[in-house]
Amino acid sequence: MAQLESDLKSNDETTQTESKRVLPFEFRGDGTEYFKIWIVNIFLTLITLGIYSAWATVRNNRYFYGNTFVDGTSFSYLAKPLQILKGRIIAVVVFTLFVGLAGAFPVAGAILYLVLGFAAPYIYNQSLAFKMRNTSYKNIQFRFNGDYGEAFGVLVIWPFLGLISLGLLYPFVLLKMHQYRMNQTAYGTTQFVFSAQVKSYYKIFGIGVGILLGLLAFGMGVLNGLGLMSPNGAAVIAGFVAYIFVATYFTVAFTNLVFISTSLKEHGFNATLTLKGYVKVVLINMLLIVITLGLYLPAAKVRIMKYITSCIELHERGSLDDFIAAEKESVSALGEQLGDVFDFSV
Amino acid sequence: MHIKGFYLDGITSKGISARLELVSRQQKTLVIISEDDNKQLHVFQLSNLDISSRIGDAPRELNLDSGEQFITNDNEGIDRLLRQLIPDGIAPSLMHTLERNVTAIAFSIITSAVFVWLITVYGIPRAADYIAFNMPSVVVEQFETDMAILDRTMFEPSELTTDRKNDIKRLLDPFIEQYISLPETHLKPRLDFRSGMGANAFALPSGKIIFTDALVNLVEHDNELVAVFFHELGHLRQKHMMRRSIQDAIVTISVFFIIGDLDALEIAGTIPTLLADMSYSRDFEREADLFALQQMNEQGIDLDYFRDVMKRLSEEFSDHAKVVSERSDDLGDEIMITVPEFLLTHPGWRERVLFVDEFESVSSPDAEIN
Repeated sequence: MAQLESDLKSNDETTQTESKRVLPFEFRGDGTEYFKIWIVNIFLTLITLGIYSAWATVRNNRYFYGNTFVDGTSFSYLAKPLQILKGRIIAVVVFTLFVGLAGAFPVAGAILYLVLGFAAPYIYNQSLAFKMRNTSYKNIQFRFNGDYGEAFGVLVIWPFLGLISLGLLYPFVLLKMHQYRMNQTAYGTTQFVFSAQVKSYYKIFGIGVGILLGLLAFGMGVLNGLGLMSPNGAAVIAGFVAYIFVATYFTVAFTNLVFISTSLKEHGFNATLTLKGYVKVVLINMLLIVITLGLYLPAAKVRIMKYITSCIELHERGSLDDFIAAEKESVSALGEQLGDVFDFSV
Repeated sequence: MHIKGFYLDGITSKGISARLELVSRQQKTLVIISEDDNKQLHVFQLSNLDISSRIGDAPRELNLDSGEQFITNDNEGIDRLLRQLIPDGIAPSLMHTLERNVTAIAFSIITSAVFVWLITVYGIPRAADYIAFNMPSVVVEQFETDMAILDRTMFEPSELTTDRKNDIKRLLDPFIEQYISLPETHLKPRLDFRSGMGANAFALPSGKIIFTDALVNLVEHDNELVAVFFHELGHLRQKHMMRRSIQDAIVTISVFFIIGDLDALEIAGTIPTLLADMSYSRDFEREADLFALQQMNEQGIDLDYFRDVMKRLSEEFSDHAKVVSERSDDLGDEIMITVPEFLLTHPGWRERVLFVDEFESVSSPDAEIN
């Protein structure tokens, strides 16, 4: 309570003048507190044979949104369990039919995959529209204004170009993806603007490939030097470690890049995740999850969330008070749930 | 009484420091008053209000049906207010109360663990059995195409001489005939040869049994091939590969439901899948071994051939450290799998030899004398 009051006070004082504040993001959740919510969710999901999972999803999301603060106010998650349940049931039925048919009838399967390819941009748009529509901050909802043609380009055509260029265009592919995603997102009626340059993407990819080759050579050298296993075994293990490391580097570098390159009116963002900090959190998390046979999972999620938010800040330029809400709209949860079961990693 | 918070009109992002007060308990009327100038911002009935349920210490949102919002950290205050206004309603923050109760938490942990264990150990395998053995034959026939996919991705044509292949086929034909005559046989097994990987054998859902060239070259006595063949027949008879695919699918969907949205921790989400898969796999190997031993006993083939080939295979694996494990589903992943996977999914050869000893002592009539 005192927290909110002091937050409010600072808010009042600064809105008078043209302010230039740096407002850090903060996650106020707590591992133990979330563990309890999580385990009760799992218990109820199990005894209701999965039905409660929709309520569980809403409670989980509300916990994470509601504890993420910037400028003294938290985010809100607005989706209702029944919409999610409906979407989820349909999505699971569709997925089961899809996998069953595609597995049993390869010809039909090929057609189904083609259909899925054309449906993917639509599902992607619907999924983001649902996520954004159900996120609000200061009682103003976010929006995602998807466009099928553009989504098709970003999800199908660009990745295809990346493939036939033997990966040389992948930095472009990712840039197009981020551009589409951020530029179509709005807070109320205000669009986000994404201004990253492709050279930043090539730089990150270049460093990534460098790390990959370096670790691979180093790892294989060490393992072969120790002579504990065959060269093939060494290659697989060194490859695995290098892969994990580079994937983590990409997560860190691209998260930073996306935040730094995004603006909302005159306001900007900054993100300063470090490879060292992130790897430390991930390794500790993995270790504790294994040791506790999975019981640390919820606390791990809190820990990574705390780390990420602690590295992100909003740079206020002018007032944060004059964003205007968009028209009411409703989006079905089906697209989001389809995206989840088919693992489009939205 | 009053509750301090933050008023947002739902039109702009400008928040106003405000307090919520009860006007009339009978009428269930409430008012939101600005803290800056004590002006009334909104007067409304409880029925116009949607109060979010409490979750941890996250701020509580009170949404008016006209779009305005009052947000407060005073969770206790809101609960007190609700108890006053709806004295005979269900306890406010029921879920929150449950989530703070030590007994409820402990009960949840234990029950969930037991439940997961029961589902993994009994529920999923039984469901997979049922589906596998009740699958329409139309669907089963479609598995024929597995072979084409495997030929494209993993296998190379066999380089064994036609004579050698025919010898082995002639050797095994009587056992195939004998197998078909068993009650409840669903598929006619057909033997085929491929190369392109280390010593291994496969029983595909369509009834094809594949020996790799390396396996044929590895054995020192053809009866060792008979032992492997019976092992694969055991897989086929129990529809192991089909059941395993179905189990994988069920586990994947269940994990999605239970652990749900774990964007950042997907690797952890695969741990239960992997563990379940490993235990199923070992069970299947055990079943196939048992079938092989029974058949060998019936056919009067010395069980030492089984021991020999298991030992040979395990040595082969530790020598070359690159062999694909025995499955044809999700091919992409399999190519990279190395020894550890094999060791985890198959019982170790010592364990298997012990199993043979045990089997011998139970089944052979002259066990007592020995």
